[in-house]
Amino acid sequence: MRTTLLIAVIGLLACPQFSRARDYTVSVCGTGHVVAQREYDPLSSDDALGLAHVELGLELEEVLPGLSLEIAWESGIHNGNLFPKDDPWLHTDLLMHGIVLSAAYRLPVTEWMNAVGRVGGTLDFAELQIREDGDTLLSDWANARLGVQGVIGVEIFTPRNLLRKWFKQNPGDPDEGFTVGLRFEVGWSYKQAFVYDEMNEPAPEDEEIAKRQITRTPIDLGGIHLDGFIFRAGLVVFF
Amino acid sequence: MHRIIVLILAGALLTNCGGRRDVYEDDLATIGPFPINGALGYINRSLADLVCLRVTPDGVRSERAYLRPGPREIIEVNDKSQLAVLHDDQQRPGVALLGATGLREMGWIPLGEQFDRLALAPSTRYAVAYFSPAAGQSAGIRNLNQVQVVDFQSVAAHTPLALQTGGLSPLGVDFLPEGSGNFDNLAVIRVDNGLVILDMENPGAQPLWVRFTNTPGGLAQPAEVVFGSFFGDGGYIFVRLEGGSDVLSIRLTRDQSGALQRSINFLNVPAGGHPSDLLVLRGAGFEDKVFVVYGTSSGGAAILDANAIVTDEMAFDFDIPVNAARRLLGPDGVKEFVAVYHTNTISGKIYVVDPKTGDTETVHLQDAFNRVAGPLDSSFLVAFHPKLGQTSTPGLRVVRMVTLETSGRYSHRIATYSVEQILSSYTFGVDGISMLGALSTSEVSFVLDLQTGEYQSMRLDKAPIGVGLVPASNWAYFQHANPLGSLTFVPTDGFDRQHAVMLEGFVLEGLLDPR
Repeated sequence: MRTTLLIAVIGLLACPQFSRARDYTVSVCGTGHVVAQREYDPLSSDDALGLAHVELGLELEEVLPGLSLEIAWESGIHNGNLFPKDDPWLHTDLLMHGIVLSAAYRLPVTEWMNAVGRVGGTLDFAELQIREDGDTLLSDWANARLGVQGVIGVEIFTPRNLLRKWFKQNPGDPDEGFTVGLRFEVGWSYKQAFVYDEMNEPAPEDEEIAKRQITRTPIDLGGIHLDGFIFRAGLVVFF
Repeated sequence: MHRIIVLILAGALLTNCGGRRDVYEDDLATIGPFPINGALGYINRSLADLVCLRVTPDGVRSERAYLRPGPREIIEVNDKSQLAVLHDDQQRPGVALLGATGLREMGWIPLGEQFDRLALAPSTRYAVAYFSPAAGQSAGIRNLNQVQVVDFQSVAAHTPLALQTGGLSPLGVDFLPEGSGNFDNLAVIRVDNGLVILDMENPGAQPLWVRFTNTPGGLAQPAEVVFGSFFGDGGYIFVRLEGGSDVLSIRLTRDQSGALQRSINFLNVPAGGHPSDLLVLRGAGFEDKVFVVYGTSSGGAAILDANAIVTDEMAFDFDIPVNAARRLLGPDGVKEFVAVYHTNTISGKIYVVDPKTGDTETVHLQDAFNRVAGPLDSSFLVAFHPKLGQTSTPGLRVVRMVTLETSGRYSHRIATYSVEQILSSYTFGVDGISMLGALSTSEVSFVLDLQTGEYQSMRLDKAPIGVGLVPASNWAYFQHANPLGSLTFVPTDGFDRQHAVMLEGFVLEGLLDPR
């Protein structure tokens, strides 16, 4: 799956048409997941998972007007308390990194707004840590997991000709060229389960000490699905 | 169109927004370890989980079982083929029976009350559920003096029995040892002013009460109950009362209908002493006798006859106060001795009494000791010294009973070991000749062969706070402070770091699995 995806991207980039100057976008957003799975309950009291989302989009007009290929890096950490009662003492940190490769289709609605639909695949890595105050009691990385996500939303931006006017430039194509705006989208994300079956106390940094340690038998905490409703909002710059 | 979008979004939000279960908000409560055949069990009371750490030839593996709400205690029943978990859940109190392997629920025995203690009879078929004094904190109104017999073989419980007594809750439950003939499966419940004897095999039978008369000075609380040999038509239960000056001997018999009968004798301790410890000897000729240690201005002990026949009595006087006794065997494992001592003495003396002949030998340990322990029914005693000689180093002295080659007479040998701190974590091997210990300051653990004096020590990775043996295995375990559970397992026949395995955080095993 991953190999096929990579070959497709490389193939697309190798096309002669791809060498022409094209519009591209850069976005910096926040993604909010609402993770309703029961497995997530131990890690969070509010079902929320927030991620920073940085995305680069390349227009593929030669394939279909309005179509873009986008690649994004998502990263975030979610802190929770487990068994807090009156005095939180046991903390959970879920650190996620992921790549999102998606196809976006933009439909201009007005000269200051696009309707957008995105469908993509995700590849995520996530570390789970369980800490008591400053000490990490258990931690483990879950192997890369694949997923899919689909969102729909809008991009609201400064009309390009207005921007040209501000910068004392001649009016041009209202659908092409530099502008800045905001994007808002909602959708659904599905990810394969992150499995934490090798939870262990982190090894000492000193390798010699680590070598001398008594063998640890890891603990299986089980797996967690991070599926659910997502919403994303942020800044988008069109070039 | 926009209505459809709104509906989709609202649906998505509704399916996603579920509250967190309270179990993750409440405090973490774990109970354990419970020694189980070849394994250690931990109850995660918050999540209602049982985590079993099972030793295998390849190491230690953990298994987890979901339990019903309110797991409190776990014991092995029905000849260790099943585990019984006591649940004190407010809605559904009871006992769940799990398969010892696989940990699947095989039966459920509802109980009439939220009992929080389960005392298992030696037969492993019956148990008595009862309340601890703390059980009243979590309920509106409750009579804590109730008990209920659980029959694991029939997967049923007898009707709860309310004991009419002024005490807060039962003081404890004792059982007659196996091999007591018609008197097997009798439970003896200690209450504030007496004993209640239950025939667990006969749920319809009335309990037999033995009520003690309170003295002007206070309640007649049973402080210690020991059982003489039961065979034929009956046997004796010996009772020491808190602060009392006599020992009670209760003869239990059955009438023709099989109902329990009792008669009581008061056994007078010589010289007006106050009994502080009782011991039953197993040798021939001692079936109706009890060894009593008592305090006077000096110290004394006596072998009293259950029928209060004074001519048979044997008394021993010691030159220092004594308050405890321990059964000790000769090197042949048959000859019976009694070690008599004071649990906190500065004299360093232990008296070894031959109950047959009355001969007494004094063991001089040179230093004060504050504890005496040893493997059950063995020829070893271990004395714990806060200081050795003029140093401030704590130590151990192992007293070993020997037979002198020249005369064939019994005597003793002493071996001394220094330890860097007062030993608080220790246990004795089931082989009766090994001792396991752990020192928290240096993280050192050791296994000491009491017979040869050889020892092996090993540094653990973390400070130990407890030590024990995994039943039906040759593995020892050392506990470390960690609210999520931390144990080091070591095989006693390969006592080194290479063979050791450490598990941490196992209380959270399966935390993320859907439940």
